[in-house]
Amino acid sequence: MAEEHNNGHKWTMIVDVDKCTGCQACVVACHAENNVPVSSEDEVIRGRAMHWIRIERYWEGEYPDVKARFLPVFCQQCGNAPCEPVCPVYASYHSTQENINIQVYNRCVGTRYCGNNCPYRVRIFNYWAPRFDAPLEQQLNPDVTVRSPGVMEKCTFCIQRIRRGREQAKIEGRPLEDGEIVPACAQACPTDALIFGDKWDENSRVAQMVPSERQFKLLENLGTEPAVYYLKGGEAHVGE
Amino acid sequence: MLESRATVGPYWERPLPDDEHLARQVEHGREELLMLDARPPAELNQLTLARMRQTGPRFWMAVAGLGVLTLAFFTAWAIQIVSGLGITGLNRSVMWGPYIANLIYFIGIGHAGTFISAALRLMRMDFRRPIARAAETITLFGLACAALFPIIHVGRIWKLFYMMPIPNQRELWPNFRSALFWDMMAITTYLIGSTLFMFVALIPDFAMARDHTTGWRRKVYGALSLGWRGTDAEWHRLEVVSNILSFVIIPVMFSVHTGVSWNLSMAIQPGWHSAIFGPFFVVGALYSGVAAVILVMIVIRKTMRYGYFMREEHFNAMGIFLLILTLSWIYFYFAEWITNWYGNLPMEKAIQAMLTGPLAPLFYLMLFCNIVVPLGTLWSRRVRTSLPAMFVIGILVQVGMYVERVLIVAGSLSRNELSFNWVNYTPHWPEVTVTVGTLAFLGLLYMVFTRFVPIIPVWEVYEGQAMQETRRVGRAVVSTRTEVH
Amino acid sequence: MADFLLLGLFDNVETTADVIDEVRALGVQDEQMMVMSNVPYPARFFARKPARLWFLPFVLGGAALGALVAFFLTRVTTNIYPIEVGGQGLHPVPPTAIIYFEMVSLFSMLGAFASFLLQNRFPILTRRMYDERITDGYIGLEVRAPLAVAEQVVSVFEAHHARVIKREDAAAFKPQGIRHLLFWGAVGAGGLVAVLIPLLLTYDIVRIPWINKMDDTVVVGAQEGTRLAAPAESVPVQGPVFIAGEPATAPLPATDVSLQRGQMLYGTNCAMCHGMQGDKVGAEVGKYFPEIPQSLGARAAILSDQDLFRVIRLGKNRMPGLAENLSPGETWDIVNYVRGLGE
Repeated sequence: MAEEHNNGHKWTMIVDVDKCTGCQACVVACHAENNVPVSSEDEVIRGRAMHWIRIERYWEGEYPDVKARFLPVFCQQCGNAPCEPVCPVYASYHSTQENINIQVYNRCVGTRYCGNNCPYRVRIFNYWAPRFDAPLEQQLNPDVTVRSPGVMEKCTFCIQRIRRGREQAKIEGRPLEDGEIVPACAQACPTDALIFGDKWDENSRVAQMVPSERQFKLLENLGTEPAVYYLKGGEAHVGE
Repeated sequence: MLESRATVGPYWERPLPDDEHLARQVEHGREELLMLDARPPAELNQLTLARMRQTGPRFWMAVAGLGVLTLAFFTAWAIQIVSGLGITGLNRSVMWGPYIANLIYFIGIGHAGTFISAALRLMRMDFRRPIARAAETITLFGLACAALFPIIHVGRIWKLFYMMPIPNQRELWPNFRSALFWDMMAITTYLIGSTLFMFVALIPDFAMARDHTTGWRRKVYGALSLGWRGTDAEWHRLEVVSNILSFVIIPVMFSVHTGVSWNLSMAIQPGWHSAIFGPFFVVGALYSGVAAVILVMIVIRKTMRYGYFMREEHFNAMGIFLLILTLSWIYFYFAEWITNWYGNLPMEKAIQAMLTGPLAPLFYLMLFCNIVVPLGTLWSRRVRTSLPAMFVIGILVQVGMYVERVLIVAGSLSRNELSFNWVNYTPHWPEVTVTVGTLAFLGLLYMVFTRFVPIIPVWEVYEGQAMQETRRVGRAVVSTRTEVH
Repeated sequence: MADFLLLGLFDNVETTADVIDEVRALGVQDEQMMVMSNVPYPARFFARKPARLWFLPFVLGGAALGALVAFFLTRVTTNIYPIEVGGQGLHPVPPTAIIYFEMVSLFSMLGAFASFLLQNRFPILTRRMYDERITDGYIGLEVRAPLAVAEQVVSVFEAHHARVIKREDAAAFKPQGIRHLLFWGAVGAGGLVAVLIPLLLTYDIVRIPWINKMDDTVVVGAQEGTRLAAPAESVPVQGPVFIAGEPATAPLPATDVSLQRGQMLYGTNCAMCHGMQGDKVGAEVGKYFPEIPQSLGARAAILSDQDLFRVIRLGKNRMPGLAENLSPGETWDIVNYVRGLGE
């Protein structure tokens, strides 16, 4: 069922791959904002790196003509999310206000079906109790739950910032302005490669950038209807 | 007990024909076929109950061995609950591994039980008579062990009751659109249905046990037999309820393993999203189930001295059944393989490349166990009636089918559309301990069960023997079967 | 006239059928006879009418109940709490069909089993005429007849070489009546109680402390205990105080006017807990707030003016912040007064 254009918002992220340098500032910012624990080297080798946003790096060609391509991948907040119908306890559902995919930590029992069904593999499972070595536990964001072992988590488009922005606008009795809500990754990006906004607001940056010639969606043929648009034109190679 | 002066005696005292040639044929028939070898039920009842009353030292050694492995299983599980699932080999791409493969495997081996007791009953196949309950017991305990695995593999066991539709003050209900919920419904239905079906058929045998035991055993069997006397009204109702339950439980049986396979095929994961998984898994379940029944038959026949009940003819029939299932399994697997191979879609090609590449030892082991060994041997009646050979074939089929499930579950997950996320899976000690321990647990439950509950449905054997006879046609003696219903 | 119950055990179907014919000829009705065996012989082997069966209403009733449960799970739960998932809509047909299939199957099987138990009146809790050798393969015939006929029936039994003959007064066997219904009623009541116990928990009527590893994280209790002191010289201790959202304020000089005002304000706002001399109020308050310092003056001596200002305005642990009650000027007055409190 297509998302209905209601009184809510259609939060959308635009990733300008041509501008992304692969600096991973977004990754660090996300860890800091969302209380994502840092995985040890052993865990990463075992394939358990916990990143809500990650820079996928693909090498092309043979030395000395090697080219690297960067792709920031995070939860695409699919309109037709394959992770939602498979959760037996409704821990993963579609918000009709923000039109993104919500993960409810205290409802999750940890069957991990959603993680299997995500073609982007952006869903992270807490195999261990998240560890924050001192003094990092003093740095935790009080707006975001610290998860327990056995629950799934993923990028939420910094929903805590979205909610706070909406509350603030409501208290002040005015509509939300474009650019008022910025997720941590977009805020940290030095090249402005991540642009966030409400697609249903015609004046927003994202609404104006969406109909671009360079636009594509990740794994669009699967029909998941992601809320993330990637922009890439020509040959965006590093060091060229 | 008065001596009978009647001229016609009970059905187990049929005299041999006078003609020596015919008499020899009748004797030969009695040696070969259980249905022709009617003996006094008094004797057979004692035979059935004999090993249930006495246990030798080897029984206790087996119990000890299986008990140790079971204990290891539960310890590993407890450690996993406390430490978190991190001690397993699962990772961010392969989130389902041997625990789900075990779930599929244990439910699978239970399907043969229902098929043998329900479907073969409706098809009026006599070879099912002595083995039906042994097969159903595998179903019962297989399901019980399988039901442990959703609990083992889940991240937060203490919140697992969220999956059950219990009214609560938050008015939250489980998601019926999830394949895991269908699974829960299907397994519950199947478990309850199988238990009812098995219990109903057990009532006359509990009555027999009640009549031939003393002391606490007598009281327990008396309670379990609900006061059964074997009146014609009681039998009539038993037959009808068995028919109803058989008719309903066969579609349920199909739906259970189809539902389990839909846990996989409802996902859009390449290698999983295949329409053929439903029937494929049902046939695979029957395949591993029948092989498991053969293994159990061999063990029971030896340890409980039921050589009278389980004869060459039964192993022969089960061997033919196994061969048919081998061919069916090959057909489905080949259909799946050639579809993926011919279509050349990149994701499916990647998975097949992995199966024939890094995972080749497991893949070819599976093909060897599931195709080469059964196809190469089960054609021969000599093999089918040789207990050591059938034991080996049964074990190999179990291995092959288990490997097949692991390859599908954990193998496919390690390959998906974004190749940055390809992570291979290696099992760690908890998975191995839990798998081996659960098999031991199943064996332990089974062993203890056979000492309390008559594992041969003797009333069905007597029913067959009472209704079957020999008849002379020309110079030969043939067996006849009477359709009573 | 007292009835007798007679039991005869015979070798095979033919003999038993013959006996039944002859007993019928003596005037005994079909309903007064019962055949018992260890294998199912159809009633027509003995020219008897098969028993009436009552399966259909139970099976259909079970199926209806199952459909009701499935309706609840698929339609009603999503109407109580509608949650959108993955573009499927609230009532998709294929999953609904599966749930209906499973529940209808389950409850029709339960209905058939319940009907089986009820028709047979299981469990039979009264004594019945029986012989153990029936499970050894002999066919038993139970006949209920008055005394005169009973003797004739016994002779028929003997004529057909019965293996066992039993005769007992029918009054020794009490009818089953509704005993089995009472039994299942008790089981049902027990089951109902067992089913209701989880509801006590899910409706929070009985609260038991349950495992919740969410409060196992580092977050819980991270801010409790002694507040970390800022590293030396990292926080300016001179000059104006900066509090987010407020203009910066600089300390006021400790003039007499300021001290007097400070004493008045202290008496109104602080003395109830800290005591007029900063020596902590009496035993009752002290019992509930053990962390109030015994000597405010001594504590204040180790803090800077800016720290005191912040503590009064923002609060500390359980001490409430008085930002809403006091203007910055008034706060500085209290700071000056507290500075003057002795050890």
